[in-house]
Amino acid sequence: MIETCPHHHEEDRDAESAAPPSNQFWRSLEELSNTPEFEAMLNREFPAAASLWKEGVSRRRFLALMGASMALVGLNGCSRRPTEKIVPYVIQPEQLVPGKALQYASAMPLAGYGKGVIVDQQMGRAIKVEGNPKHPSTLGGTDVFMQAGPLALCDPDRSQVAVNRGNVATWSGFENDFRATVQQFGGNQKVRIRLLTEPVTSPTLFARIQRLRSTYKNLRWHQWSPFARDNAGAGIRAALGRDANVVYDFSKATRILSLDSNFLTDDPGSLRYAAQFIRRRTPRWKPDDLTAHHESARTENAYQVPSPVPSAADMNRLYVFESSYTITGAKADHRLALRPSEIEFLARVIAGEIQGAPTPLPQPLQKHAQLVRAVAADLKQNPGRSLVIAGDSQPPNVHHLAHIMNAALGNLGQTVSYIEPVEPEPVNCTKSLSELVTAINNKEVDLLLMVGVNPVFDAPADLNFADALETIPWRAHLSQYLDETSYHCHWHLPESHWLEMWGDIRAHDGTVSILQPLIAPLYATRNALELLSAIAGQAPTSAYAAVKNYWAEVWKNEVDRRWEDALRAGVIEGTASRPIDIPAGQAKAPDLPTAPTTSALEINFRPDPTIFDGRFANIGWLQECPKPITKLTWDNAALISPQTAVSLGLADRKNPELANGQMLELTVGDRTVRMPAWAQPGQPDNVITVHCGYGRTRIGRVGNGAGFNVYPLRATGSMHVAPVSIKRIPGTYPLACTQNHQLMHGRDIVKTSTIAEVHEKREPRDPAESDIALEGETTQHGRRVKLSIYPEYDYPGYRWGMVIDQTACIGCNACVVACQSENNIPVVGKDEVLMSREMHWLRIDTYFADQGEPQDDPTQRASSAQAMFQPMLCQHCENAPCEIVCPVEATSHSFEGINEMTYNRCVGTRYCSNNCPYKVRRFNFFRYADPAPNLAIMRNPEVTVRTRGVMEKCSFCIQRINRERTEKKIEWVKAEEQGGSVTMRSVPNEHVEALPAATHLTACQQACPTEAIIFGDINDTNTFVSRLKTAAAYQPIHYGVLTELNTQPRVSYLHRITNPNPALTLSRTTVEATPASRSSIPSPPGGAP
Amino acid sequence: MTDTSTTAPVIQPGHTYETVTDKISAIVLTRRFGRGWWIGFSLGALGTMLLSFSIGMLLLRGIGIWGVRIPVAWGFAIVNFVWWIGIGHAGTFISAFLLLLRQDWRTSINRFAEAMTLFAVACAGVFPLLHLGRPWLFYWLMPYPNTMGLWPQFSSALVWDVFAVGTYFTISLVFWYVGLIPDLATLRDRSRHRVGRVVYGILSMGWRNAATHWHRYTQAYLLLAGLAAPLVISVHSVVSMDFAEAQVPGWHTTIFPPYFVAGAIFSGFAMVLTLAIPLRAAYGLQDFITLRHIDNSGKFLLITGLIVAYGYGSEIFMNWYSGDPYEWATTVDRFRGSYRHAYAVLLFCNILTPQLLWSRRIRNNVIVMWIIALIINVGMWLERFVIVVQSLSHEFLPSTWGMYSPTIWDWSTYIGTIGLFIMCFFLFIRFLPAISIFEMRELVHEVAEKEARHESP
Repeated sequence: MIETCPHHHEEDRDAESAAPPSNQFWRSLEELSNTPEFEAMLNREFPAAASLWKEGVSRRRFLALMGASMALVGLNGCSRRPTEKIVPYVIQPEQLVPGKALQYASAMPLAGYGKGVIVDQQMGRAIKVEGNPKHPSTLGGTDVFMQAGPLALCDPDRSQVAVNRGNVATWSGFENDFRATVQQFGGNQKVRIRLLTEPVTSPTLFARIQRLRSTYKNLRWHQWSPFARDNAGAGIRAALGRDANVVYDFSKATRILSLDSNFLTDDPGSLRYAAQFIRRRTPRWKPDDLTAHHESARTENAYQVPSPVPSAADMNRLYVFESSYTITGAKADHRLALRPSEIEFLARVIAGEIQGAPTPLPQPLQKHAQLVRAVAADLKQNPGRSLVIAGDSQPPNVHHLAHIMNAALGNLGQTVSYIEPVEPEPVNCTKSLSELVTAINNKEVDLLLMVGVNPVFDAPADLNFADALETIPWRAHLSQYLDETSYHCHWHLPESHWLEMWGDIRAHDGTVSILQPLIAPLYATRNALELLSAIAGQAPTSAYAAVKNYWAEVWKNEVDRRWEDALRAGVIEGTASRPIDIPAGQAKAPDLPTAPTTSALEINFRPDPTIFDGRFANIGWLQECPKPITKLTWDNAALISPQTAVSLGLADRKNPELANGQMLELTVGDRTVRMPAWAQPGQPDNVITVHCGYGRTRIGRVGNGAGFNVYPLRATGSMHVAPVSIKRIPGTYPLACTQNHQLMHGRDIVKTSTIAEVHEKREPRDPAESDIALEGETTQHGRRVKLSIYPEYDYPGYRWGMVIDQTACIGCNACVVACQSENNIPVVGKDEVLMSREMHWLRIDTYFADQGEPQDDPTQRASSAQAMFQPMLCQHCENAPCEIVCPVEATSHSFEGINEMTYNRCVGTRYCSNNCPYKVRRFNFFRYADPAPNLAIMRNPEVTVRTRGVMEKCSFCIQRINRERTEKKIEWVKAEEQGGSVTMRSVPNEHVEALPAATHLTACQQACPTEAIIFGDINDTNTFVSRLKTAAAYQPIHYGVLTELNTQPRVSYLHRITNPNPALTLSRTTVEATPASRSSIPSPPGGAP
Repeated sequence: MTDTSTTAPVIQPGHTYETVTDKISAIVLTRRFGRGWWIGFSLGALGTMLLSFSIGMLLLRGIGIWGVRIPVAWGFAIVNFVWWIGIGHAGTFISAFLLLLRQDWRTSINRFAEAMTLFAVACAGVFPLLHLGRPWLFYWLMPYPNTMGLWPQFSSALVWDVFAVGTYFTISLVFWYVGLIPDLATLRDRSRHRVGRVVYGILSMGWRNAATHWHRYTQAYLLLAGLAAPLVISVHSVVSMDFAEAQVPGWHTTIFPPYFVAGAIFSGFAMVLTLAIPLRAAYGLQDFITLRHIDNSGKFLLITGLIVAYGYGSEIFMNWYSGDPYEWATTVDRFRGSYRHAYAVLLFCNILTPQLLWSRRIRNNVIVMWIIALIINVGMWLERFVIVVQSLSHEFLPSTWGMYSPTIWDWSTYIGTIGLFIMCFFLFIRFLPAISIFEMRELVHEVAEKEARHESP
């Protein structure tokens, strides 16, 4: 029972924490305060030299490089292969052009729901995942999990063969054993089989299960997912009296209230919601075009003339009451950090206000009365255009209240729609799993077949699932890794990755997508359809046949045409769930719970932002992807508020960050977990947030041992929130944070404006000021003076540039992982991140600023911190500081304005990095990109894999530019030839007019669900990017970072625009009004010491 | 320049040509090298082995074994490089500048000061090569004809560095060797061992003490001195431009070239004292390296220390006066930030400690002078550490601020170069005259003449 016993794990942790401490973590202390004692302790000039001789090497080797190709390298290296002659294609297969990517539509299943993707395939290898613009859940955007697909596919630690009781086995061996066991327990009619799957929306899979049920009369089906949406389902049942799914339309919502809902990432429809939400919010919002925007952007890149900035009334306003800092909270105009139990009170009071039946707030919450009334009034003033959304971790009552409020506000059919359940058999997963365990304990289960789930790791602790599992006479588990659950089963069956299988799956609104394999299974794996087919007792069918036959029955004689269409489009039109017409029933609000007591500590269980429920723990990209807000990598921590850190004695009031990395013992009921603390600004007091999914013991070399398993604290009665007691225990633990300072120190880095201010300062800025940003010119004595001694270069052809809209950036990290996937960026491992050597070409800087009145007390200040995101990548400065200092001219300016890195020429002086004010250059301190055979197949063949000792950085995805240039050149030459006059054989760069408009997107731009990144040709006045950079309407909110250094960056930014409620923020707006006044406010700590 | 009546003589009275020659050549030719030499040499050799091992690891594994990171992409390697180069400066300054200025007291210390320069530059030269991500491609920094038609980028101070340091090493080597030739001939003539006669014979390049030899020799030596003198100024100016050229707050300062040159001579004289004081004690050279030398070196320490202090002051003032928030934030960070202890110690070592040298009593106290020299050596190392590391750790975007911590390999490489320096120095003492014999003879002659002039009227 190693998995469920925290103590073993703790010992490992302790051993590790004995390694040389890195006081990296303690660095940002002086930000909040400067007590001498504290600094004396922290700021030793020469921290103990960390020896890389032993620990460093092995950690890095084994963890850092998910590469690690142990078995395969060994086997291949040692054996002499027989001579096998290969023969080139005599006839090239149709469509297969070496070097040219093919694109296939598919869908990524996650916890039962699908997200439509388009996968780039090069010579039969899936190398990049993009969003499918036609898919209702993604609208062309992606999230980190979708982006990580290629690495997950190639993960060398994925299970490769069936394992029977510890021995390598075969699929036919499994089938025989299964049949024998069924006979042993009385045959098809008597054997008591239980099937445990994730929530199922796939029509074909459901049909398979139905057939299985008909074969085995005593088969019972259970569904389990640790973050299933049980509370939401219960809330809907309470409000509507029936099962339904709810779908939101954020494009119509101007006032949004989130009750602990992280709808920007945690919902199956999040990508769509984020896109709709942001489209209603950015200054480049177009009132007439709120829906098909994404698609047109991707296909044509032909934007309309940017419309004027929206009015405050049209721009949406987001109120967030939340119990942990999420990216949704970071985008809020008004955010209130509350204990999870308090949210229901506020929801209840707001619902009362809306319905005209005010109820008083309990005493501890009286201080929020003004805010609550203002929110209610604002919602009421926008009937049919408002939206109340409750989070999955909130109890059914709050969901129920949200439905009542939406009904009372007239939002039904406008911003909120109810649809027929997307799952064919919706269940409460917690209840379903409990029933299974009860059945097992009653000895009612002969055979248990588990598909894709990992309950030994993630089941509620009070079920003692592993113990129960051991009592089943015969148990089998289909999964991608030989994981904790497999370890307790007689049979482990390797599961195919979604990029190598046929299947179908429904989106959040019920729309079906067909999963197409991009590659034949790399190993002897099967998917759920194939497994269930093999044991169904009939002639087994392939997954392809299963899916196609299912849809053939639906489509009858139209099957051929519709099948092709479905594969091409990636969605099946008309399969969305039917809307349910619900009268705005005045359902009775649930009873008020007992008044909350503020003294008790509450713990909040959340899925991890990058490894989800733990299933992605072996994916290096996701482990190393800095978590939004905390910027932690490779670990989870107990997030506590600075105030709570002080009360627990982990830190003093002036230095809340002292708490970071100190070990805590969390006790829920009689179960205990030890993990490090992290003081998180903006976290409500007395609330501990833990992200689940860490502390895996049996997944692979990357994920094993990373972080701390907190599932043992979860119980069926308290799946999301529980009372907890904390104790400080001796010891610290190194936490790898990628951004140690999260304050701007009065520097004008993220500029912010309220929408009202944007309208006030519509007139263009001082021309001299804007010139410095873009042209490197200034005005002296009425004369224009260039600020560089170097002659100006006239860009006759393309001139690439980028604008980043900080209003639109939600900090979701999709761009970070997309960049990593596109550009073959290596993973370096926790120890290297501790040495600040992460390689991300694109990072998202998160800064905290005060919200509300400035406070002197750092701890107080931290509680009202406002997080702001700034994607930071190579700025491609016109006057690049890196270029002039490189002694070998390895970095230079291209004729299209890109700051280019010539890897072959780089000798690695790192002078360019020192001179880069943005610090966006990354250095290969070691040979991070080990050529592991498995990983080699996911590499983008158009991008060089960098060797040790060379600098690298964002290239504006120059491979995409060149690919398009090549295509355009071929087209141009062909056109010339057909026109009969072959006068010029190359694209005339000197004639701008003759250049075809560039339409490609950078990887980050393509991944971004909210279109925060806009890239294109600045010379072409029709591109969106050039309009954003030049249109007068945008000048007041358009700026470059650190332009006072005369770097003349090619990447410029739009202000982060908020729409605060004037009734609430008279004092607040003056605080945030101007950069100057804002900069005078010292801000709370970045949390990262 | 000094009133000889009140200061110690440059050579103790009573020496003749013969005693000078005997005394100095005996160190090499006849004296037994006891346990002390062997211990010192072994320590140096151990250090050199450590250096070789560290370099081996570095080449094998990559620069990542060092503590460099983003944002502090330059660490110990550059600190040590500047430190060693600076140390070398005093040697050149003594031999070239003081020769041209006809300072007679330089004679007894110039030889080993030059040797010190040579070894220090060799130690320094190791670092810029090793700190490259791909050291084996170092030659790409040099202009050489190649099929790609590529030149280095002449706007980068690192290219100037290659020329400056390369020239410096070459000139120092030639200057030192040329200066050695007459003494090598002396050793050849006095050596009682065949091997010694052959080796010194080859090295002395057929020196026959002919008048034409002396004539040409003097010409060549002066010419080389003329070549070397500007290098004292130029090399460290160029090195300082490695920093001044960049826009890193704390680096981008016009005071850097003169301030670095003064700092170099400062640290170089400190190193001369560090070496000379034990040397004269160990080999009984008090007659040749007299209190006069120690006193003069102390004065040099004082004056260059004051220039360095002015440099610090000017930097702080300009950062405040310029109104540049980034520069000022870096200045404040030096006093209050993570590296403030290093900064405080360096201010103590480089500004406060040299103030003791206003006192003649202290300048004439050999032990105290040796301690002061050591303190200054430490202080000057810390100065480079603060300039390189602190400036990089605290730049423009707070999101990129980060601390540096050296690894065991940083330390081993640094200690290894100290070992190399020690080993070379001990070999030098063992096989070559640490004090210029012929120049000392000349000095005996000059002093005698001077005394005769004083007495005769």
